[in-house]
Amino acid sequence: MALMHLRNLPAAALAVVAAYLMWLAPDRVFGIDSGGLGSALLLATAWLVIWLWQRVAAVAEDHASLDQQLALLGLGFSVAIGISFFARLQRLGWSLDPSAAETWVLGRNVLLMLILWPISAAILRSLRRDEGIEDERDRAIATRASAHAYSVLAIAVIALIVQLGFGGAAFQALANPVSVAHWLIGLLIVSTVAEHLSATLQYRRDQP
Amino acid sequence: MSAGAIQNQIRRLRFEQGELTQKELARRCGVTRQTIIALEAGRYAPSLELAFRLAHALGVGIEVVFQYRP
Repeated sequence: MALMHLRNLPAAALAVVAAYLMWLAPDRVFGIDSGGLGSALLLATAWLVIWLWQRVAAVAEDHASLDQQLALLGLGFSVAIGISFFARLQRLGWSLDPSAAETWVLGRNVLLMLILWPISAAILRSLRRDEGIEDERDRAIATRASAHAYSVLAIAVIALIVQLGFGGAAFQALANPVSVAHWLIGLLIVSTVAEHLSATLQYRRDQP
Repeated sequence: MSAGAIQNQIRRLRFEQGELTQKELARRCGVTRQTIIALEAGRYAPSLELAFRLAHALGVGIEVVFQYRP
């Protein structure tokens, strides 16, 4: 596939390093705030990817429709948000203290992703030379993907309800209102990942 | 959505229409080139409206483009 090229490896490597600094590294690395450094690297990676994408835009248009590209973009961002969210939540012990600063830091990287996501989507749309048609097949795929996301969300919410009811005293001790709110946000993130994964797989299945 | 029992002759008819490209056929029918690819591969069954638009773009009757094989 023309889009797979060795020149994309530096961008991929930068993204991996940025992700590690943002989510998994200690708070300070060589005295530098790793979260801030990771955010700066992520922005640099995003700029590099957009520049590279511009160079292969003509090939990309022939290979994937706009909605397919947006599904792939959505999958990437939703997975990144999920990893960021659950990694930090795990480090906080799955229970959040409303008065602690770390509780609100949890949202910083997620917010950055939520801002980058629509910006990247808008740039993708602007790079299309064609009209970026959304046709009936795109709508059918989106409908099925939404149905899959709903099923995943329903199952996850039921599982949480069962756990809250029958999880025992140890689990219920973790369940303060702020924690439960964050768990529900986590379930929404899982549902979003499921939606974009479903759409991506459907587009992939339709390709010869 | 797999085409299932519905088969089509889109690819053959494209070539009979002066080697009409997938991109041009997609433009005439108001769909993406990837939808035309999915149709020709038998991986997607079009709506009735799209089926008529395809037949009109190819200049033949709908029964020439699509066949039902249960």
